[in-house]
Amino acid sequence: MRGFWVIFFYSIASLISDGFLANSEWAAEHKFFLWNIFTFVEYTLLSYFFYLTIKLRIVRLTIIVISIIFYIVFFSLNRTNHEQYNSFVSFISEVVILALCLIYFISKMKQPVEDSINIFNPEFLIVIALLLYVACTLFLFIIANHLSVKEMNEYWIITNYSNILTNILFSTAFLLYRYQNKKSLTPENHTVDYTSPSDR
Amino acid sequence: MILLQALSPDNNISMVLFFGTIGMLALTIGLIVFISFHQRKVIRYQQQLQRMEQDQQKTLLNASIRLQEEERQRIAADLHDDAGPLLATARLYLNENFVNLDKQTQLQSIYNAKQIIDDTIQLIRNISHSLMPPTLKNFGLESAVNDLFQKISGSGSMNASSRFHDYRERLKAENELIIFRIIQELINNILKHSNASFIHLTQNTSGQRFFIRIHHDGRGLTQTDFEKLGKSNVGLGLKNIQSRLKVLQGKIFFEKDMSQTYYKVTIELNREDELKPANGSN
Repeated sequence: MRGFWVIFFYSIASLISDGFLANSEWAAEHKFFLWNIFTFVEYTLLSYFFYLTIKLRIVRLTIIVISIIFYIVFFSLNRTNHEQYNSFVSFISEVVILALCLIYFISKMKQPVEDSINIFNPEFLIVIALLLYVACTLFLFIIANHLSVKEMNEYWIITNYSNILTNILFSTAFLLYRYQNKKSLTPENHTVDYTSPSDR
Repeated sequence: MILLQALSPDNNISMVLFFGTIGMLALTIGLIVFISFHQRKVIRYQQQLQRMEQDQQKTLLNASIRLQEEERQRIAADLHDDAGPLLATARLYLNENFVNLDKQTQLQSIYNAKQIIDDTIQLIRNISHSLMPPTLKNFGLESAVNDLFQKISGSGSMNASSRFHDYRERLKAENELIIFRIIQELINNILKHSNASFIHLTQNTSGQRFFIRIHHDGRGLTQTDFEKLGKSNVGLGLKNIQSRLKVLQGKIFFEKDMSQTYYKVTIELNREDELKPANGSN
């Protein structure tokens, strides 16, 4: 449940960031700075989502250690230059999320059948959405520092499409979660029809 | 547009981006498809296993019910055919006392009635012993098995011996009874079907594992035969062994000895989980 809230906040953060960039002149001027901040927020929320989702102690510990390393790298690289997009940090963030997606799948495949992966499981859909997002944007983030501003603006459309795809899958997951929860909360009909001829 | 830029020969970065992203997407979709199919396969396999286990349990339950019914019929037959007529005869002798008032005849008929009642007591004792051997109850598995083997050996038709190497602590009484019944069933099968000239039973432990091994020189079963018979409609006794072992969570192995001369049956149990010693018993 808490994992869904984390993803919900991630979607909101993504929406605010994109909306701000599209509508504010200041944001358009400092967009690399804002992208860096968004990378930070994105990594924090997504790694926290996996921290909540993957119950293995060793994985949780690894997430904490990697996050500490990530924050150190992030702050040391962004301390001097705020106005350049830091492709390296984004790349690290994407690789960590990709690895966590794979760990999630492996851990679920090892579990007993009743707890294992199901295509209609909202959690599974969220991880698929994240995996697709990472797959679409990984190479863009790898080469982002080698692109000119013009090329960057041209290719950034990949991120927009992947965002659309990810948000569609997130919405489906939320709806599925709501539907499944509602179904399980519906009280069963325990009344007996004593007027039925078979009960007489 | 990206595709066109990527395919232009002077734009290496676009090519890397284009093919890299397509490659990653293909890998991701492949992974998702693989996971879905793999999971479906696993679920199908697990369901099949569950179905097989349910079938097996049903067979074992049926065998156990049939065996119980047979046992009841045997006891009913023993009581009806043996104890019934004996008691009726004793009653006749006692009734005679009302008719014949001659002291000598009365004494004779009372004596005869007493003899018959003694026979009936012995008969009921035998029935009771077949249900729960007193040696097993009072002195434990080792004594009961030794007793059983002595009786077999005493008949002269077969050389039977048993040796318990490491049985200092008695098991729980109900578990001893289950093991004894399994041994009885196995011995019964050997006597009936194998045409063996000797049977030797050994008991030992290894860590927390408790072993009972039975060797015989007759025509025996292999594990494949045992499994085949366990699934078929015949082999009620073997199914009964299976269901008893299930209670103890034990295992049984049928094999031919290394020398290919003897058949060997090994019963393996985990003493730690299932066979905790009974408190205060020895």
